[in-house]
Amino acid sequence: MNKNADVIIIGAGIIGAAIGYYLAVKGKKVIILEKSDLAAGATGSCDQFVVLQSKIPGIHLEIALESANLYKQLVRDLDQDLEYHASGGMIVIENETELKVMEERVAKQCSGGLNVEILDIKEAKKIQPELSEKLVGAVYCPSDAHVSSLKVTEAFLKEVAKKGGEVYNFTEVTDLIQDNDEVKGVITPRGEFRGDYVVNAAGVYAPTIGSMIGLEIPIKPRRGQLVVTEAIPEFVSQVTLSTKYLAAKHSPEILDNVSTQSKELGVGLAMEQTQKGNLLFGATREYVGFDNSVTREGILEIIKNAVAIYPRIKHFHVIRCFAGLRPATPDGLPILGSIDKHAGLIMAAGHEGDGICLAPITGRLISDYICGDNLAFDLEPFSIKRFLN
Amino acid sequence: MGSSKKKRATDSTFDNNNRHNNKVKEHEIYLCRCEEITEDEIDKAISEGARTLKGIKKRVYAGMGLCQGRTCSKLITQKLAQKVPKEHILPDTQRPPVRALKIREIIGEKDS
Repeated sequence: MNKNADVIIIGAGIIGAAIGYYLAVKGKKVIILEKSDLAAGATGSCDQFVVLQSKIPGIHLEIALESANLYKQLVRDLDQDLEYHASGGMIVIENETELKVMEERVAKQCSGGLNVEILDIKEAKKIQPELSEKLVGAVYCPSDAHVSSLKVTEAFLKEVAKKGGEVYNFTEVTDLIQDNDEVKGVITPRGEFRGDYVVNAAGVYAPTIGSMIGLEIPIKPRRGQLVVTEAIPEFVSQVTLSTKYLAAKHSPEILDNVSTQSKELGVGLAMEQTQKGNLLFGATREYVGFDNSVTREGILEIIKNAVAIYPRIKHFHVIRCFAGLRPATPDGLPILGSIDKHAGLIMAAGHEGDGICLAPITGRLISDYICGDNLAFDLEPFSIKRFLN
Repeated sequence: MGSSKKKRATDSTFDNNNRHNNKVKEHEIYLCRCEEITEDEIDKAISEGARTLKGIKKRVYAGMGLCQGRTCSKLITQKLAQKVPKEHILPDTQRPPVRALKIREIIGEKDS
């Protein structure tokens, strides 16, 4: 079976699905090829945050703000409950060192247009009564939200199919078709798929696609372990992160009084309660190749860290631990846009833990770029060029 | 702030309601009891392309509840077997703990 389309997208995670959706809305014929099943990688093994205040002030925060707006539109446009709740979010502060770091950060974020404020622990407990009183305080952002990454991905893919696009699961891309240096399509066990553009949205597997044409893509799998409890009545009403979580993500130098083990594992709190009532919390940040198993040390550190922030979780039961691999780049920003030497190939991968938050804006930007429409943001800061020399 | 718009399974259990229509559907067959997923919902997921236990889970959340699929995975495997040769249906990823564990037990605190 050989097929043609305007755009061939590799990967049916939330990023590939979002790009497919925005292209289909513009009337482009898309084919999405997925080596496993929808949301089989990072999309299906993560938390469910659309957290703005975890983004680096600057372009990272700017695109996240626009992505959050797009989510509000998607809730109206997509024919499915996305489990989206703009419930607000907190980043807890555990000591004075962290407080200083957060004061600086909040000032920058405010000037970047984000509505954030620092609360002392008494004020924070008014919003989140289960917080430990031993904490110093929390940064509060009313625009933080959460959403089901599974439902969003599924809804995008259904719209693609409705608009004449095609999605092939269990169809692994084994090679790229090139004419001189221009990428023209892909080869799979099902046959050849050709298009004007091929989008590499393969997440942690994006480098495998790159290697087919000798292109080195600096994305590495970074493991995040998480814990799920039984469903319980409302315990937290919002997404809660800890300053340590941010530190593990962007600036490890903040981590002063942290045990070596916890630091090595990159442990920081990220907690929410799902619509069904389960507490979902993590996480670690570890470079261990493609090993997605959970470890005793990792889970133990996650739980100890969480108990210090929400002491009463001690009384709930853990029903599952799991781990996902996030596609991490050296600077924490995704790789988006075209590649000089390989016309026809478009990058859209490397979002690490921001894929859920940034999926709508990624879909929008890549579709606008492919269609030659005006871009809401310059793609230059996200170009793969920043890593090539 | 404390009252959320969210409808939680547990909240509704206490209300004697079910997550769908505030009413348990009497004549439905429930394959996943923990997450209250019906046979019809499983059939729909299969018709939409699910071919593995994981694929079912990602689409309708069956097997994500308290028992982690220990009860429903065999029933769902039978359903999948209508589309996929049974010997190709792998068990879903088994993750710890095998039984639900209280957090205070994991960190070594004694019950008071």
